[in-house]
Amino acid sequence: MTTAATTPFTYAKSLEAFERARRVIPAGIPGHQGPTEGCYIPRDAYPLFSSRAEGSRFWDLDGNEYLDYMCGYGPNVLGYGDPVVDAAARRQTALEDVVTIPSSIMVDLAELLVDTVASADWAFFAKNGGDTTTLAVMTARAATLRKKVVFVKGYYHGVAPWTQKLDYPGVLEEDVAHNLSVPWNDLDALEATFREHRGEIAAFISTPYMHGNFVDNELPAEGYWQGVRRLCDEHGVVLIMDDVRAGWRLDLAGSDRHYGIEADLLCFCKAIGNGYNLAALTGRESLRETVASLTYTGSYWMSAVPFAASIATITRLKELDAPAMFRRVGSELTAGLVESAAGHGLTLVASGEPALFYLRIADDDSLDLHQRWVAECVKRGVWFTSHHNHFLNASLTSADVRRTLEIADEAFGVVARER
Amino acid sequence: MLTDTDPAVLARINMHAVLGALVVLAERAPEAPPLLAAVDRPMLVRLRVPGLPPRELRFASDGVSASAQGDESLVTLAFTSPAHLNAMVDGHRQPIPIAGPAGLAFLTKVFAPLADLLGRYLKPSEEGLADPAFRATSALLTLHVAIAAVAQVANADRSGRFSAALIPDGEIGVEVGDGHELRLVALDHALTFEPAPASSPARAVLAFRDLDVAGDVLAGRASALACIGDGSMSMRGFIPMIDNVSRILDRVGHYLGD
Repeated sequence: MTTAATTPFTYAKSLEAFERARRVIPAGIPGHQGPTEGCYIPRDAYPLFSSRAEGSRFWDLDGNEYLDYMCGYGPNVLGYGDPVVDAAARRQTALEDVVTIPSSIMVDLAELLVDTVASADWAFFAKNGGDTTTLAVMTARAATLRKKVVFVKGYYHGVAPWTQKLDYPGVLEEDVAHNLSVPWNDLDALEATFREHRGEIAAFISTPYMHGNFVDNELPAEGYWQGVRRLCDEHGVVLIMDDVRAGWRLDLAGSDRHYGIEADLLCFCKAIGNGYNLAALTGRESLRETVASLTYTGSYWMSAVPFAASIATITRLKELDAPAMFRRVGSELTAGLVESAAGHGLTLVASGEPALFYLRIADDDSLDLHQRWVAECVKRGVWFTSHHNHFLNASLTSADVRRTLEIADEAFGVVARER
Repeated sequence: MLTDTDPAVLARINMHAVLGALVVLAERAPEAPPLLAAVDRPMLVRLRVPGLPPRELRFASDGVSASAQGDESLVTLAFTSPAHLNAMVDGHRQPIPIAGPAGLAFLTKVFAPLADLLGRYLKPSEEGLADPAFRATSALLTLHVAIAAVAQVANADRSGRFSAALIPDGEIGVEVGDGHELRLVALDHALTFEPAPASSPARAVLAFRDLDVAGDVLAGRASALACIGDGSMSMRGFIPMIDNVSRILDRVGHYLGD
């Protein structure tokens, strides 16, 4: 990548492909990787399709190059196309992948997870994060013979109907009839809810910290998770930690361990296989037989190649002490961004864990300035996002961070001049 | 997603959003002024529905407005229930008029033809849509009805109130090209429709490239997601406000869709 001042990108080939897409795919690109849920604001500042990826970068269909701070929304934890992981996957591909009975490499990965994740006595494999959150809630209900689940306001635990809300299309009132919610970091509210619904609550489900969209991310208050653990134990409620987003970036022993507790069930996906399609639910001994009793499976859930990739990924993350690296790089990057913004008279707030930093320009209440700054960064080759936390990967270099800060500074300058 | 609808909410939509669009119809439709010319003195039409606040519309030779000025003759249209009013709007039942001879003449010669005209613009035929001027007015009226209905649904419907509870205070702008802007004002999770030009920046904006796009999306002839993808629709600002207004718009569709 050059270090010269940039020329904003254009996206003619992306637009051509989108025209083809919208003829054969509903909405062209549905979901979080499309222009609507992806908050491409303004739309014309963003490409729509990628063509290749390597390390900390991807290239769009028009050949524009991006330093990628979304990492495929999390899976890219070591770098796109990591040679060690890809070699392990190729070796497994040469042997077998989807077969009538599973490869024993599934057992190897389960043993690695049980050895690595502090609260894990077993592992159950699936494909997406939502597979594991749904399995966790089914397990909690089966174990407790109770219906209700307590969420934290602003939650996201996938797209299964039980994770959605009353006003979402296609979701029935009955799907969400047993959902309760409490504010983040509010032990009093949690205790009051547990008391009010004593004997009715199967599970409390939460991410390790509040990494909601469009708002500054909030870490747990001192003693919060210990209080949650105590209340769950007192009321016989299964404690589910949704570590799909933060898992493998905060602590390789699990984000529950990172914040000083042991969850009953821990949900993993995203970074577990560096892009190879895999999810896992891990849990404590007391729930082993319950989860074994459930009817829950899928056509590709025991494919062997992702197991091999995951073993290589976790092994490599351990060798690198990746969480410490992410904390250091994330702190350095966000401090530089905040300083650069201030130099242009703008107030940038960085929140959440440095490994998954969330950014917001706080000089208006509409996010308008922030959306303009992020768009100027994207048009110059740094892929930030205006609504979601970011993700770091281990292939990011000091030179990448320096170039990011140069481009970000140029973008701050554009926004400050137009303000 | 609720699979049923509430007749009282539909009555509010009909009173405030659908019949409220008579104000814009009088300003925009070339067929309206000749009908209003028959109004020799201002007339105030009061809609009275059990369980709902009354709604008044003022008709004069120079237009329709939403508030009385004190110089009107009064015509009351009484209904036995919200469903009765909804059936009138659908053309299946008659209201109970409380009026003198002049008032009854107004109802037959002005009010009913204007309501029919509104119906032609809100449920346009293929031939109507082929005329660019008709199509533009139809889209503008549809936009007014839809956004005004959002406020009613947000405040009265169970699903709408759920969505509105997640909308913080501030103004949500709905823009069409450079020429039209409507506002929804959120305060304490209640929404108010503001058709007048806005004086302050909106906290969030949903923008249509032109009236054709607005009409097509609101009538269900085009996908909002595909339009955002190709740039003919856009959003900016505090997106959770737009997200929740979109959910309420979906709910409006349950009430007003075919």
